Amino acid sequence: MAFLEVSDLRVSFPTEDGLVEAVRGVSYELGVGETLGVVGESGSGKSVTHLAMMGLLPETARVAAGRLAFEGEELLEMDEARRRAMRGKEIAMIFQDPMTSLNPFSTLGTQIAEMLRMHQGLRGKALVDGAVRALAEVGIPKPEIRIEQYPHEFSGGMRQRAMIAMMLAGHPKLLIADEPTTALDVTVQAQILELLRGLQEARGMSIILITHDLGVVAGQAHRVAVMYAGRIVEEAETRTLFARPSHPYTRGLLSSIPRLDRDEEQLVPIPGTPPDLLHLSGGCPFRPRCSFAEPACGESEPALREIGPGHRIACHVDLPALLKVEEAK
Amino acid sequence: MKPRSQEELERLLSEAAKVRGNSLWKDAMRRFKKNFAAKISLWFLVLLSLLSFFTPLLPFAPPARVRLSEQFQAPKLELIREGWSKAEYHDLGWLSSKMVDLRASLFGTKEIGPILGTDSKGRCLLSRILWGGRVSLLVGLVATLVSLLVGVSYGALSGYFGGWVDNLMMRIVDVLYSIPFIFLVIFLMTVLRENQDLLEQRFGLDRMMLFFAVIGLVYWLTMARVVRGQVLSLKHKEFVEAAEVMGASTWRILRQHLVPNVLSIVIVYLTLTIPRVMLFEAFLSFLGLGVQPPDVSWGILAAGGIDAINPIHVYWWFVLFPGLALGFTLVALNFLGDGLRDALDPKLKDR
Amino acid sequence: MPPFLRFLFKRFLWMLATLWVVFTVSFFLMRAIPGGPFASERNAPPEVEANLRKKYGIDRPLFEQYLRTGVMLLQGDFGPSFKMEDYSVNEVIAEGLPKSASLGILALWIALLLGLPAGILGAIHRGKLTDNLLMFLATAGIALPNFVIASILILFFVILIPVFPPGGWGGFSHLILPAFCLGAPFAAYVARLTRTGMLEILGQDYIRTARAKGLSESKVILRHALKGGLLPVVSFLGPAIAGILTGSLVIERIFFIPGLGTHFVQSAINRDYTLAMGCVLLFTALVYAMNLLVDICYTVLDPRVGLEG
Repeated sequence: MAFLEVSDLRVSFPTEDGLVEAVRGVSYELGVGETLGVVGESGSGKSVTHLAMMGLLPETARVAAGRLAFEGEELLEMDEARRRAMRGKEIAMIFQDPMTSLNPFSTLGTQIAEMLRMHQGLRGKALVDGAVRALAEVGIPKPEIRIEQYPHEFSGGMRQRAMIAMMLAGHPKLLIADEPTTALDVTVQAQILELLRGLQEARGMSIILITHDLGVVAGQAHRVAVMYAGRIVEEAETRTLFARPSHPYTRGLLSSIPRLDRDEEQLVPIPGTPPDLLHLSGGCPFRPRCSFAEPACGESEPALREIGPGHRIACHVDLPALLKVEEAK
Repeated sequence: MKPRSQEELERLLSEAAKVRGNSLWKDAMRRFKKNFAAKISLWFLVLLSLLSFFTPLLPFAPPARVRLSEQFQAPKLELIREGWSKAEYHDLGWLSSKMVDLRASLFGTKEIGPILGTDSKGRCLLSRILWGGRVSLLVGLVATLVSLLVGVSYGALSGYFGGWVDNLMMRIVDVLYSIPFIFLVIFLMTVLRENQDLLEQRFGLDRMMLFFAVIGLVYWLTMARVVRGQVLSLKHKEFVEAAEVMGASTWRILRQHLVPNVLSIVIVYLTLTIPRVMLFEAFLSFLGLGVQPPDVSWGILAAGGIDAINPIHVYWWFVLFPGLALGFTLVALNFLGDGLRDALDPKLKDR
Repeated sequence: MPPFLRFLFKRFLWMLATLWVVFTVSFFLMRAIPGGPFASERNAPPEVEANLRKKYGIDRPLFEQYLRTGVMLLQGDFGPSFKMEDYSVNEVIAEGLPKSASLGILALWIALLLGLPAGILGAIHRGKLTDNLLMFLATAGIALPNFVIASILILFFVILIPVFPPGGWGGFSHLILPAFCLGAPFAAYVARLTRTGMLEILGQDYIRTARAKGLSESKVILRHALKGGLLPVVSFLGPAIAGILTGSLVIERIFFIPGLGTHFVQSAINRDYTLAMGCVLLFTALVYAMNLLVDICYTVLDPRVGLEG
């Protein structure tokens, strides 16, 4: 039994213009202490998938899955009370913009104490000490002063640390980090990622790291899943993904990253625009932007297939073979 | 790039303005049509306006005709009866007078009976409500237009000149804002009323016109601020600078770029201010400080209704009907205003 | 000087400036307009005239009168009543103010007690029947004049089903109906503002964070959403108080309450100019002070906002 098991998760939203299928059959597994990187553009469904897991989507959303199990328990079959009890305590989530995600009207101390009271049953002075300790653990200097301050008095990086401190106060077993570094400067990004690594080691926590930036997952994740148009199109161990990217989209993402070790004159962006989820054609949704498309790609949507140990892609084309032929030429 | 000719640039500019203009109105119309309450309100108000306008033409009893024998009659379903005479009208303007003449030739001495009852002096309530409505609606419209004119001019000038002129003008607005104008206006009316005839003789100021002006003066501040804000933000938009570079005259810039943007705000402002002005007029007339007898307005009728309340004889029609008339009209204006605002800028929805 | 005191001082100066403008305008209206109350002496009975002459020096040059009156006002002396021989304006105000104040405060409480829950409920059940019904009532409450509401309520609850006394000043039961009529339109405004404020807050990211923490929905709303959602209402309190003062003019008349509003209206009808001016100045000062208080409260409640020096 895997720690976290997701099988054929689907999420759709009824809108004025029709039904939008944001997530169209996502499946993966996560083990204890593992970090999974989930990479994709805006609109790929990476955030929606995990908000659905937490049960944080608006009421209008329709969520269905073959299986969505955390430590063996089916999340979608739980009643709301049990589901709510898990939030913060067993599964926690941190968000992209700590400025808007923290309550501007409350001091950090109050906000952290709320978690401590709820999930660790602390009272009175223990709450204050706990809040101070939580801030110290994430590397915020002078925590005893900081707990009396409001979010707008913190710098960007410190705010994110504070949010991490707050959401981990319940000692959850799984942390979902939705673009935790996107709103931060590059140097601060590295610090936050290091912080997360440290906490993971110390607590044996599993992490799902959602991002649009492949560079973020490179040093951080054990495995990576690349999402496009609501599905996973490639999944592999991190090293394998970077060494042998086998889906045209993944290759496109990698080529568009500037690299320090190679001398490149031009960055190669992926042509075209993200798909309109309201009007998907029957075939592979990446086809309009794919340089390797074949007739089969327009007819049916490819399913995930294994092309190596722990390496799956959803593509009709056998890209590695194709590239070997190209190289040979 | 080849330098373009003056005409070509002008053409591009006006096309751009038109495209932007068109889609704004079309979208707005579409959104408005979906709003049920606003649509009904619009129809109601159109009908009411028509009815008001043509009141002198219609076969109602004279609103000022006192008949003590018919005091406090409950509503009676007596549709047609005799006894109308042209002589019992006072102070008719030129147009109304002509309409009453026409009515005399159409309906003779027949009139609609007291189907809504009569008041303390035996006057027909239905007729008084309709004639009173004319006054109330007229005040609402004219006073709002006055405030609009003053506000827009003031705000536009302030925004256009900018600098210390703008600062000064806005400071004045700030001071005026903190004065509860309503009390000042009441005070003003008091002082002016003292010398009605004098003012009329010396300055030719009609009572009603004075009233309009004074009320209008209470409400122009908001419009001034809004318009000034718009002018300021537009002053810095690129297309105005481009137009200036091309040598377009100030007037042209104002007309083509300023007006469409400000227009939607103005429309919304109008529909929301007219009910407030009408309310204010009713308020003043209710207190005896506004429209004076023998003229009648909804405020005066409301006052009459309340005065007549006593535990022994319940003259419910006297309280209910004027209240309903005023209430429905104001509610309709508010729904219409809300609907227009939602239609023109859906981002403001729920505000 | 610490920033807070500096802020207060500046505001106080502004208030004096505003009052001065009102005073000057009123003064010249009364004296400079041909046929105005002080210009022609046919209006005042001889005793009052003597009083006026003594106090204001009517026969003195205009500017001197202006200064004298100004100084009087600064000392808090509003002068003798123009029409009521034995009373000074101060006495009349002292008699009427407490009554109007109680009425106004009760009306404000009613406005908040009715409006806040209505707005919160509307926001929570957005788009559903509860919301639509409440907002319809709110629009009606705003549009209908308070005297129309009053007349209908009197018809029902005083005449047809005698629950309340018809008016006058007495115990609490005398206050309830008038306070309700006075406060109803403001309850409607509060409901709409609260609903808007709450909806805006509920769409914010930190509400999602609060839910992610595992808080129950009611705790999310009460502990996290409410504080931000209520801010528009706090800002509204200033204009609300001004509006309640205005509305009291009508309500006091309908319910025969001998408060400041009644006296003001009477002074307007009777052409009691000194009393009228005194009332106008008092109302202006009150409104200004309330606005100041509200601004300070807002600063206290929202940690992101500082006092604009």
